[in-house]
Amino acid sequence: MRSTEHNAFFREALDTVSRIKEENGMLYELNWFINTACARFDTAYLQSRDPQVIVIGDDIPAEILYAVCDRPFYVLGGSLETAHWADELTPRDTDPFSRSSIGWLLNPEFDITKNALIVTAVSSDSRRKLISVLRSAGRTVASIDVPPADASENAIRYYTEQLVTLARTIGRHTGKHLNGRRLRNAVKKIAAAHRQRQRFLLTAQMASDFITDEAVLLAAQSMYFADGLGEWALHISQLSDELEALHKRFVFKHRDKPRIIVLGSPVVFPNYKVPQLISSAGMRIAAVADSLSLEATLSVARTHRFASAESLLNRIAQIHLNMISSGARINNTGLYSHFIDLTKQLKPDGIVCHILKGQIEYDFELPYIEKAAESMDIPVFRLETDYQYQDMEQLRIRMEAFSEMLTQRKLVRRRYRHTA
Amino acid sequence: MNEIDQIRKGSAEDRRKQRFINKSVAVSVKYLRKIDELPHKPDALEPFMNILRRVFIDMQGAVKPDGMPTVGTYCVMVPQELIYAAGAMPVKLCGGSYTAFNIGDDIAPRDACPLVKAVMGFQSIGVMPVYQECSLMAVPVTCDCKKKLAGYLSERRPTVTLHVPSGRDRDADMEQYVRELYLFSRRLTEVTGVELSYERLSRACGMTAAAQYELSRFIELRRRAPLVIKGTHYMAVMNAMSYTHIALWTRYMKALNDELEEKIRRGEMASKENRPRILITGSPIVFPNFKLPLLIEEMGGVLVGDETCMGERGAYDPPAIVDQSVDGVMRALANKSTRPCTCPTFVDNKRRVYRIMQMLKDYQVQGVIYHVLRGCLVYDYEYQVLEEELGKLKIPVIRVESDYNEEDVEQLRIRVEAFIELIKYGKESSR
Repeated sequence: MRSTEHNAFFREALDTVSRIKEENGMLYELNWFINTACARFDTAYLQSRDPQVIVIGDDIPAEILYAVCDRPFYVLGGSLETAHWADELTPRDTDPFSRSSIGWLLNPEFDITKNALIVTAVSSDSRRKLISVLRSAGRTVASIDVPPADASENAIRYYTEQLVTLARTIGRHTGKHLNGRRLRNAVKKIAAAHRQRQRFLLTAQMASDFITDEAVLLAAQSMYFADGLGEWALHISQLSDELEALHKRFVFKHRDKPRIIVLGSPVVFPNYKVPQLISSAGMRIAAVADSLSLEATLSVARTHRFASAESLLNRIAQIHLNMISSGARINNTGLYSHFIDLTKQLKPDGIVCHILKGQIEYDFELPYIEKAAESMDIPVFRLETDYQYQDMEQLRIRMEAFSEMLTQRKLVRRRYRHTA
Repeated sequence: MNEIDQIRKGSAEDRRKQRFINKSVAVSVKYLRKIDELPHKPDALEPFMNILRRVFIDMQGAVKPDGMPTVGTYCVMVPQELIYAAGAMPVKLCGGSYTAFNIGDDIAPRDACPLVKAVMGFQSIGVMPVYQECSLMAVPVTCDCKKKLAGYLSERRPTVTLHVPSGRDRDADMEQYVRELYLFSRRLTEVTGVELSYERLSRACGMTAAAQYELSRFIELRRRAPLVIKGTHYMAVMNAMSYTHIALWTRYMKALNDELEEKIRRGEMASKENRPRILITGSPIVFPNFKLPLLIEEMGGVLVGDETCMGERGAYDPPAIVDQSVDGVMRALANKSTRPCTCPTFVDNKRRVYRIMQMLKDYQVQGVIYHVLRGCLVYDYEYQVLEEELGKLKIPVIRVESDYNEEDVEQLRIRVEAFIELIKYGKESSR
């Protein structure tokens, strides 16, 4: 047993993976993803990892990062213990993601920032102040601005300039300078990974009796935790194959559970409270529509992949500015259109809008989501929480009531169909 | 038919609007009376009080020449010279109304800052002429709430958003803000029909320069110890600036400066020499939310300065024009609006600490009150840095978190009183 297993930092991850392991014992390939995610909470691994580039959040186009860096280390929050470490450094109302991110980068247990350049996008108030805190603590941070207004020519121009400057800064740090060949390779690599991810999500949807929601989330999200994107794509493909095989070989009696779309603040490992609550209330996640999952659906179309570096950059900027789904935008059209598409495609029974305390931008968008959902006669459940586990039972009661309501609606609809 | 019957006969929406006006006016009357009742009020303060009365009690529009369109602005980073040059008048619309806040509370999320809730409330109720008469709204995106406010306003009013870069030292960032100003200027031309020209820009810069000159005179007079004008009176002057044409405000300011100089000559000061000298910094204090400055002065403190965006921050720095052309002036305006600004929207905001340090020296400050409006995270983040810096100088500081209501007034009173006593005790023990 490692010494770290006694500490709360590692235990939090262990709790989540134990649950996933227990519920998905028949999936051999899932172990790779579990180990990958768990490694991030092993201080020995973290001390040896020594990342060159640390990326906070998912707002920077992955194509740019992979063009100038082999193994970016993503920090996406998610951990309660790292959030605790940052208590002294942040105001009371700071959102858990920002707290946790600071905790990952400034803490008494390990230092992954020794030789790292930290990169991030200034997409919220917390993010801009987080950069300030990190710089004051002596860390090197490079940032880009996300134009908040629209995808106008001026916004795209400014955003492209920012991406080029960032790529140059990272390139100087890693020794890999931005050029057309590297950018094209990165675009191809990202597109392949996103394709495999989409295939996995579709397979998991089809074989939903063989894999739990938490396991789907972990496998899809570990794209950000894996050391190599190619390796991750290989394993996710193998997991999809395994699920397909199981689905072909065994027949399960399909249980008709209410299907939910989760949107809002990203749910990040190991804090899988939301999927845990949803499944314990007898529901299934049909899809997750947060910034992480939307980011993973974006890629440069095949026809544009052989263009010059300049036009590729412009294309990347355009795609991301149109579809970016963080609260960085005045009107979050990316998230909204993604949500509408998913709803039309999957016809869910309910929507859970997950809002991390302090992430006010998602709260501002809730009325638009509610209005759209109302027009489609889909109930919306607003779930506000943080990384603490104290509110689990309260939320469970609310979630169960929501689940019962959805089940009743389904029954009534079925009866109505019969009589009709 | 009497007035009450008339109200009863109106629709529910009319009654709601009337209730809003009644409540809003009552709060404004109360705070204006409190400001009025503070001792040592200069006679020349009256025009400024009248402006606030006109806007918040008589429910009339901004003080401006007839027929001049107004442009609502929500931050000091919108250069007013550009609006004056386009033949319009800027009106700073950041809200401080408790009544509007209550309406906005139903529209905005729970944790949104009260200032934004108040603005949303004003927009929703639609009875304040100063808001209603604006032909265009200009919202610089400086924080998350303003970002979403821009979205809210743009669905209801002609709105232009300005992307303020999070950094300001790189040339690329400045270029971006210059481009944003050009786009803003184009929208202004659409509204007023006046083309941007060097002559017009130059004339507008001249007007604001005259105001800045009077403001600098005023700041010089205010630096005196003991104080020649109460801090709350000063805040009323700066708030009135938001709703007045700059040329008129300059005239009133000149009269006030002349009177203050006369008072100094006569030795009529507004406070005793031994009173604790306090500086307010942090979230803006917008009329009628004057509870904090009033509490400080009621409890025996002297409010010597404020480092907020409703204070001198927006009017302090003149544009440095080096190139006598439209582009030269635009660049100077972009520079002036962002580079010296101490708004926490910027990632690197060390200059706010430097500015406060300078103010501590200039105004001989003995204590700092850090005002945080609930939900104003960017200011809250900067508290820790300032606390450390002030700790090195052994200057006491308290963080006061407040909202747009009067429920916390007595709690605040106890804290402010204790803080003032702490400063007094500290002074006595160091003697």
